[in-house]
Amino acid sequence: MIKRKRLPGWAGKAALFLAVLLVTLFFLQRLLMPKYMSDIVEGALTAEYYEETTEHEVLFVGDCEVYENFSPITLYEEYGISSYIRGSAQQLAWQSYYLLEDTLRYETPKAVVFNVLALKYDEPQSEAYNRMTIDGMKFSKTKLNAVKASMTDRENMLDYIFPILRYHSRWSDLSGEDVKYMFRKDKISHNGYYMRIDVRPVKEFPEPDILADYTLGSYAMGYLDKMRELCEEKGIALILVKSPSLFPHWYDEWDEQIAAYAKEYGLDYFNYEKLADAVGIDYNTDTYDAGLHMNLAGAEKLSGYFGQYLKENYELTDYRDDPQYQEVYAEKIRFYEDMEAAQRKELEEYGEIVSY
Amino acid sequence: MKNMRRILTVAVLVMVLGLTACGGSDKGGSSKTSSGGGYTFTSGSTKIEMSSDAAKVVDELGEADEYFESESCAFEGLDKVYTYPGFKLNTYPKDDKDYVLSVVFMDDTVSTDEGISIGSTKDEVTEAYGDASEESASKLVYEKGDTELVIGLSGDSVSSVEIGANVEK
Repeated sequence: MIKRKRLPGWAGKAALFLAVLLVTLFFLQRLLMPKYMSDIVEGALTAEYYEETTEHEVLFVGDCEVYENFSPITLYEEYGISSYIRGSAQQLAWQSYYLLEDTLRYETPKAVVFNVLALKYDEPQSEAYNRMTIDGMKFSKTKLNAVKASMTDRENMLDYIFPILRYHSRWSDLSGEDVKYMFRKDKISHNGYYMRIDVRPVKEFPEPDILADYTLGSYAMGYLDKMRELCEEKGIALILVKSPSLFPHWYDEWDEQIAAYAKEYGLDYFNYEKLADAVGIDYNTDTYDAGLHMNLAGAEKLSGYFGQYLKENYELTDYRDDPQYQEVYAEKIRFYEDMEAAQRKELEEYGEIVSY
Repeated sequence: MKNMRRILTVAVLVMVLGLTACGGSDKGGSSKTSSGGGYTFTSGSTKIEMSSDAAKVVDELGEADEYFESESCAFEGLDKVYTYPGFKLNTYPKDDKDYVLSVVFMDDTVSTDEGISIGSTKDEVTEAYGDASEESASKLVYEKGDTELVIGLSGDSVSSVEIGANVEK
């Protein structure tokens, strides 16, 4: 007969101690991580994607030039297209690649749209922006690779795996918001679109800098290659766009390189700065920050124009006929219209948008 | 039961003490200010250090020919561009203050403190600065302290000059 050895008493206590420690750490981490709810809401965009309940046939990746300039709600209302913007502030080309890879873990869209402005950056830029893009990603090998590709010299991988190591010193900045949004956050976007309805016309921009080298960097272009190859592998059409935002300056030399790249690999590339008239963009009324980003009117015009191209060139489903999508989008449209109304009210009351 | 309570208390205390010992406030992102010992640019009697307080510099330089400001992608504060004869001064916001990000030459009427301007030769550059830390057919990059000097080349001639702070915004 085999005698079962009894564990010494201290082992049970140690295990219990460890369990309590881990649970406490988990709660503290949730408490200490930035919530991006009332301030810098763009930091909440990445995680919001995982709340989606329907599939998307068109996926946008890129920086503020996608999440402020394209409206998936308009694409649905006008063409029945189901789309999502996996955008984030100063999203760099390698981050777009990994967000695409991350999305493909859940669904396979028919078309991926990448905004090319980010190709001007060829190296990691800022921890704060990295965090806003990456922290919200679900843990996976893709997330680890995104961290590896994105870290600045002063960052390290462990701080991303265990964010409490990075944010422990926020304890003195904690507010009621940190408790309120510990486990559940408010929705801030419309399928990734960040809405602004105010108007600030374009004035003048400074002369563009004279650059030492106008060649788009090899690190960033390498990730464009990876995006293209991944799309090819999955049978997805990759579409390159430069949104009609007028600043930062998009040099003709860069535009020529992207046009040549698109031609070489048979991709569509649309520079909407050059097509602004055709789209119907009025830079006196369609931007909320003097030409850097579109406001709601500008985003809806651009989406209407782009949607027409999508509809004509890809076999996209008209989800307006699908009862499940009808129900989901009815709720999304209500949220969209409510936010628009709330922003209009703020404009009337305060003369500016204060809560968004 | 008493032991259990003791273990719980110790575990929580260890955590809380460990965290609070670190102190300070942190919103993510970091930035050094004032790049003493780095490359500078002098306009008239104003010596411009990278990452220095932009308000003082702008005050000394006087009214700019043009001024432009833009909101950053997400953060509060404004990136500002002051255009003066021959160069642009770019600033970035941090903790309610603006700091000098870079000086970019716009024509050949201005030169670096070491005498290099747009139109100088590559030999003049290497004579003034020595071997570059990074060199290609189109540019020479020099690093000093927390600053970087990027000199663009068109053949043998300087086509652009930018002095910038190595800083995370």
